[in-house]
Amino acid sequence: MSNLRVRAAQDAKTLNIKDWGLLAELVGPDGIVYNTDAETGEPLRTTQQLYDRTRIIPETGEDLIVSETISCFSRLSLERIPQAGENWAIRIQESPTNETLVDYVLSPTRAPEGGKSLEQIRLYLQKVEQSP
Amino acid sequence: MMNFRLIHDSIINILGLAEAGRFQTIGFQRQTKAVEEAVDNSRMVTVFYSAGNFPKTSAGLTGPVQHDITFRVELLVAKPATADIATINNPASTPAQKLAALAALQEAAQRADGSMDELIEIVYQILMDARNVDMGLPVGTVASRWIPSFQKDEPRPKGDLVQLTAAATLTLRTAEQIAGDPGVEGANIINNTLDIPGNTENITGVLIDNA
Repeated sequence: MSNLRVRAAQDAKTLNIKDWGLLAELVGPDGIVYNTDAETGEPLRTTQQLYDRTRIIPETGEDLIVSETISCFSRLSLERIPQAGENWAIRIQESPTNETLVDYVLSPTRAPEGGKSLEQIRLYLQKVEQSP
Repeated sequence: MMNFRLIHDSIINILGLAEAGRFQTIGFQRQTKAVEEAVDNSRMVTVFYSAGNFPKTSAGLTGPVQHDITFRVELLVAKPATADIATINNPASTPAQKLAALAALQEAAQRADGSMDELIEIVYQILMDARNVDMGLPVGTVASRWIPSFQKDEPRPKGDLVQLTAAATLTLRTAEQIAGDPGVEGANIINNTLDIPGNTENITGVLIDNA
């Protein structure tokens, strides 16, 4: 029987994917494509996908919405956990209502953030374009 | 118009003609710039009159007075990362091929740094070009043209891109005349003929009938 900590982590994954999950696909530095949930075998989904955030302009105090793409996953869903300094490619839905996957890479300037208490990981993404 | 305004307009014109799709020129300080506007060859060069000094002189009431001008030149570039996405996304690619494509990923900060160095070179060569010693104005208008330094800032992640800014000062000397402020052209005074209905001669007065 799992204890409450394990149950909490599993519930955080299940409930967040049910309410907020969007499709995603990861390509690790080993060249392996991770597009299925390591626990359930279902298509891999984020527990939270953010596209924008609000920032305050210091000079005027106005709110400004800036594009900043952040993907949160349950660590339970991932066969391999992204580490700081690794090169990962990630494809996420273009928008909550558009399932077309668009390309990003893991931002090398912001390391993946923890959240181990509920087995979550937050990834900061950077736009990528085709190299010449 | 004072010379510093003519020089500013001329600098914008010189930079505009030299753009060739490599950057965009802005002639005033913008309050906010969206980083997406400055991606790749849309990188921005902003030039504006920043400061001026007028050393005291006994040149009389109407000049000419020496004007030591400082223009601020601000540069902005923004870049995403690049990678061989086609190989990474190709289902037929082997893990080794995807691994190699990811290992060759070029991060955005590195690209932004290279792009800024290139832009600094372009702007410096344009503004310090011997053919622009008079900044496109009649010979003798401008003297002591010089760019003493460039200052590059730290790259900053802005949303999905990385932004890098740099700045320089362009100093010049010119002579300004003091012609006084011409004011604002006022409304015309319209001299209308007095129109009195029923009076064919358009005069006023008292008619004395001596009948």
